[in-house]
Amino acid sequence: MARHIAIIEDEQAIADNYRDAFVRQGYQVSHYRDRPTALQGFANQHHDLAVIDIGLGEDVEGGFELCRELRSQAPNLPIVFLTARDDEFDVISGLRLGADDYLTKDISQAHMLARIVALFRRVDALSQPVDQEELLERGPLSLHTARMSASWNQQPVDLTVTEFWIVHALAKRPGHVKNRQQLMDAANVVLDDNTITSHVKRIRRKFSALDQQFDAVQTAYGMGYRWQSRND
Amino acid sequence: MPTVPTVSLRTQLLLVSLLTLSLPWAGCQYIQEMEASLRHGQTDAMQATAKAVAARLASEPNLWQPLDHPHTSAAQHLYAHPLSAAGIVDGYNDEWEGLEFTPRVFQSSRNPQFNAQVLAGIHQQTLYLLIRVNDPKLHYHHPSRATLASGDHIIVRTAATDYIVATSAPGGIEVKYKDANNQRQREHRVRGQWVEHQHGYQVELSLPLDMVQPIFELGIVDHLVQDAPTIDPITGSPASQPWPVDLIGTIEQPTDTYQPIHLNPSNIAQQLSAAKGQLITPLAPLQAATQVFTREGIRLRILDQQGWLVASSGNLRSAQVQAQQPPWWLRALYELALTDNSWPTPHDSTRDGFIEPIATTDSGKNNHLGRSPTSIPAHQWYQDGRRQLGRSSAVIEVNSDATGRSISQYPEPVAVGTVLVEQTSDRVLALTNSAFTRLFLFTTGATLLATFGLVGYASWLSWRIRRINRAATAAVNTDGHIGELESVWPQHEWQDELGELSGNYQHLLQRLQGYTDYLRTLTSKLSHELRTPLAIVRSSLDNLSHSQLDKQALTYTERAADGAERLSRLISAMSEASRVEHSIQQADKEWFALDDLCQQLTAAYADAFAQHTFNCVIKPADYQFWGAPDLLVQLLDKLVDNATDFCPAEGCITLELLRHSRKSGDTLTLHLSNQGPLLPEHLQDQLFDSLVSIRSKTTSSAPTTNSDTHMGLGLYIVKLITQYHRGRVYARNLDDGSGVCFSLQLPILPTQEKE
Repeated sequence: MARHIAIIEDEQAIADNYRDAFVRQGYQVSHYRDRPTALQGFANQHHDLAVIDIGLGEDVEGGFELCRELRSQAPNLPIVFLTARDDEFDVISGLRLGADDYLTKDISQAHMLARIVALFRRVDALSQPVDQEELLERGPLSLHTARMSASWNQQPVDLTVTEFWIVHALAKRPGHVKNRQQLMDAANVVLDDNTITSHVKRIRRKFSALDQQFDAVQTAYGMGYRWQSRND
Repeated sequence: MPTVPTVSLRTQLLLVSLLTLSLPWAGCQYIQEMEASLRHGQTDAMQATAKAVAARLASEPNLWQPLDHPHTSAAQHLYAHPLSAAGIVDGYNDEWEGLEFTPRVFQSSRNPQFNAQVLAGIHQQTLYLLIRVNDPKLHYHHPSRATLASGDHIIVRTAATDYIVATSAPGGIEVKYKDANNQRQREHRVRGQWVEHQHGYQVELSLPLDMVQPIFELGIVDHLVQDAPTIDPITGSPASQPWPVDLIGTIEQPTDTYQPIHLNPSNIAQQLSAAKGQLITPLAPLQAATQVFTREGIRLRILDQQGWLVASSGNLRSAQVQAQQPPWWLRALYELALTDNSWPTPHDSTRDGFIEPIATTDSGKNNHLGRSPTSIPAHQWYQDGRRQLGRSSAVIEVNSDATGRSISQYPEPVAVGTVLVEQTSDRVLALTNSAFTRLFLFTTGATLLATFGLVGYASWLSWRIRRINRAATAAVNTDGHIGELESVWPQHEWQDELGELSGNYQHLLQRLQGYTDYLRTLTSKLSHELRTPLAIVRSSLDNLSHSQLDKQALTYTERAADGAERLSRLISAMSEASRVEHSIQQADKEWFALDDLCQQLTAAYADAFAQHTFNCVIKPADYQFWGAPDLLVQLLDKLVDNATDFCPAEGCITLELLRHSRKSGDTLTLHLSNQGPLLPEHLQDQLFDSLVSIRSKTTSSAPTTNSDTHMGLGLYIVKLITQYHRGRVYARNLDDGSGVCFSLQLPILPTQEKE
């Protein structure tokens, strides 16, 4: 069954382009131009994924509002933010509202599709029991690649897809330095160095919230990052 | 570039306030005018008084007749000064010395060593004479001789007879004469003393005044040869040979034109009778007459025809003026400001007995002689010490026929004497003094008031202007940001031009602020706006690449995709600065080792930029630093980017790290030097402003991804990060001219010291 993707975007041209790309991949797409119609659409039909543009018409923060409402209706719905803005503030507030990922409109179609596939896979994986083979364990860290979930000392850490992929890339080869370009490739994004830095910072913060002594993600100045667990 | 005013408003207005000094100057001019006119009035009054007195005296013959000496000249007069006390006839001149009278001098042209000085004084109808004779050889009278005088002697001739003053020894003198019967008689009324002194002898005589009027003559005889036959000079029997005798002054001879004469006894008598000596004494009736005209502060003097002072009354002091003396400093100021007259000093009449009108060019000669009345000027002011003396003269004129002279057919007025009226300028002085005092006080007060007022106003003005200045300076930071205007701007409730200026200035700054804000956010807004159409283009191209295209169309699609890619990078670069600002705000500080960071980075750069040589020199020290390591990495990335772009291939890039210890705290200093072209001197400060790019793409290494997207933001970002760490960054050319060095100073703040 084809997955139903909802695109909430006020720019017709972009929406059409994305729709064409998704349709070519075999997904079903609905396009909503603003918040009221989107809510109505969600009420009427079931959707598997929502791609939301933050700036909806005159309503600058409309996307965030919509995300909040959708999240309250369907907690498990994967939500991706799509915007021209790339300020970190927006990133933070977007993710605090429960979106799964945050993409700039610069993104290439290939990357976009990879994201969507990953998100669907995660949804599927969540509904299935844990498969030990897909588990990556590095000391207190435990990563489930299919579900894209992570836990530290058996405590779940809420990571976005991008963050998960970064941690996965680092932890897969502990001690090896990965530069930013490699991390970007791993996360299937095109970001500038600063955003990678802020992603890493956010990763550190999330882990530090659970464990004060967390310092597994180390900076190799000028080179990149590496995973260095204390026990190794 | 702010400049410090060299001539501030306060100084300028102080100079302007000096204009108020024209007030006292004008006042002084006025007072001078007033003084001059008051003086004129005084002069007129004095002249009127003098004329009145002269007319009064001219109308009474018994008053003016004693003044008239038609047949004698001043050379024939001996002036007897009025004495206040009776003289002591002892032969010594003790009591005469204090009086400072000018003696009458007689010279002998034959023998310059033989001369005499005569002083005469009057007290209560007694004439006192002091005759001092310089005689190299004294010959005393031999008492056994029959003659009256056989030695040196003095002849006093009066209307009645001739008296011989001689003695045989110093001491008392017996004055002798020959009476009608040719008998030697002694004159008891004349008393005298004879005293010897070093150069001669001195005689002091006292005799009743009525003896010596109207004729009085003096002859001083020097006997040259002892025991020569003498002859009674009075009877004058002819002698066989001339006497060797020296006769001085018959008073008619002016001393310096004395003609030597060969004398014989008869000659003496002749000489003496040719003389017409006269004694001039102060005249009591005149004195009484003038007394009537005196009043306080005025002195009247009467001069006779030859200028001898014969009456004086009144004095110059004015009691009421004395009491009003202003303080000494005010008087000094007054004199400084107002008196500029160069008046002559008056002639002291009390010493000589006559008034000399003005010091003339020939004042050396003839100074024993008076002047004719008409030669005395009608009015003259003199500077007598500290005060001014005014003197008016009026000639006493009578008709010539009344005087007994027949000058011409027509009776003409003849001047017989002069009336002098003298008054000091004390009264005028008192008036002008008080006026001056008041002027001085008022103008000083006015000047001070004006000065303080102006200076105070200037201070207030300059304070206002400076306040605006400071607000404007504070509002605009060094990098062009305009801060909060409302809080720092002074309220412009003033209604004048300064308020207008202030308001306009504020308005201007607000507009500037708005404009710079607009500009600053322009790039980010622009980038934001551009992303959407760019997204459309790229997504369309993506879709296009999936549809069926022939080879040519595919090529075009690829080119379009490349262009879109570059556009995307450009937009990223544009908004990089504001992204960095944001990330700085979000940055967290932590403890890290700066030397570790530098070493790792140098290794990384050496790998990344293989065509350059990287050195890292770290002085051993403690490099723990509280900061944001990611930001510093970014900073160094930017600097190294710069360095590698300018450094030629195989060139050397050096990173130096050291720690300075200073009183105010420690600093970690990082020097990044690269070989290559030098910085232009004048741009070294502007280098770190945003959007300033001074690249000359001469030696470009392998093109990096950023080489064509430089917007001059690299060093601006460096500056932002440095400021976040409270540090300083500057660029300078290396001393040996081989390249450029960027230096970063990071202070270790005391609160951060790790214990």
